Amino acid sequence: MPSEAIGIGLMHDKLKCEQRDSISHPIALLIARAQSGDADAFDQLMICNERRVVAIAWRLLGNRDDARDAAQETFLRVYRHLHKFDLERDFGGWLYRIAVNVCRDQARKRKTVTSLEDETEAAGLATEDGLENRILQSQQRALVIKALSSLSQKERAAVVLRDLEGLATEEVARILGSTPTTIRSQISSARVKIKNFRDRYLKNGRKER
Amino acid sequence: MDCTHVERFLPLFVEGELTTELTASLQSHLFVCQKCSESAAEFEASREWLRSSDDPDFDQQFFAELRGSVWQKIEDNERPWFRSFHWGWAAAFALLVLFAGVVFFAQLKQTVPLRAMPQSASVTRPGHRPEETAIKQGATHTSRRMVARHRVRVRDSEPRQLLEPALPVIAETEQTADVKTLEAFRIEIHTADPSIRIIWLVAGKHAADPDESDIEPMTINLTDFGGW
Repeated sequence: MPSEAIGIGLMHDKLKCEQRDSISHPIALLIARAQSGDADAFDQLMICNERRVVAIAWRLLGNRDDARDAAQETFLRVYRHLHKFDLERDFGGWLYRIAVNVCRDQARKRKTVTSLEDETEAAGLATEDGLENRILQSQQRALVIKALSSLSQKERAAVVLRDLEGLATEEVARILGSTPTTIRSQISSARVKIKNFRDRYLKNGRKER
Repeated sequence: MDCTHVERFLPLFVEGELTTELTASLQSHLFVCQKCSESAAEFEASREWLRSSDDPDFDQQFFAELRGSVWQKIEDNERPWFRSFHWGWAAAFALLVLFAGVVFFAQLKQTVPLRAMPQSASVTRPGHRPEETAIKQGATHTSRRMVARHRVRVRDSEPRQLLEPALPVIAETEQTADVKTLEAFRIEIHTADPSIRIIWLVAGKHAADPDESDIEPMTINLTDFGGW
């Protein structure tokens, strides 16, 4: 799926949440209701942000199960600490920060990353329609995960937030608790590694042909 | 700007993260350097490749299960402790501790012997004659008779009483020769005036017979000697 389509897809979900929010539940009001103990409001908050959280978790951890566990833990921490959240602050940035921290903690507990074969096997269970396409997409995803896993934790978090989530360098620095200069340095190093990984993969592909 | 510098700035150049001056400088170099221009193109392609990968197909069921598990965890955390407490395990543990305690104390009773009450060698009752072994170290003179009658435990803080006739507890003296407990001779001298009497108490020898308990006073009548 092209990156523009991904962006539109995510925006579409966001618009849905915003439309719903703008009519009856603006985000700030939703958060305020959740802080006062309204379970429906918190459920709405989860619905509006679950895709974003799961996507970040999957990119940082590399497999569905870990991504689900990390997303669950992220929302639990949001629930526990929501009463301390200042409504003047950016909720999205706060949520990103929690998600990144959770993923970092989870990554420390396990050392292995999902291999290429796992993703391909998952793709094999797909239906016959567009099977080849699905397999290719699955392999592409697995390669990207492998490229990201070759980065350090900090580089990975910086490049996921900057290049995949599209956040500004200053915002990434704020979320990760660092300076823009450091983030630029980490992103630069990460892009070089990803480029080298891709070059090696393409070179090996040409050799096999 | 040479190729080494350009190579270093290319990762940020492709995303437009350099300053205006630096960007212009790089662009002019890329215009003339084919190698750096190809390198810039590779960075662009890598960026597109990274962004082209889509997320796995997470369906609605996946997200519904995610939300359900979150609410389940919230409910578990908010449950009162006594509902989530494992009473069975607690009871088993308590029984184990109780059993261990019973075994421990039972063994303790078997091994520790009863100790005898220490005898107080220094306490005697009036009329009781102590043994020689009851004499405390430091006493230089003892009169068994005197001790039998008038023994007291003399401490530094207590008054010394030699001839106190009525003591509830007679204890052995611990004092040195300061306290004389020798058998005394009583010499009573009578004068012509019956209201005047001279009484001497003289320290004498140890009583030859320890059973002798009465002291006979010696009375001297001065009228016998004429004068007075």
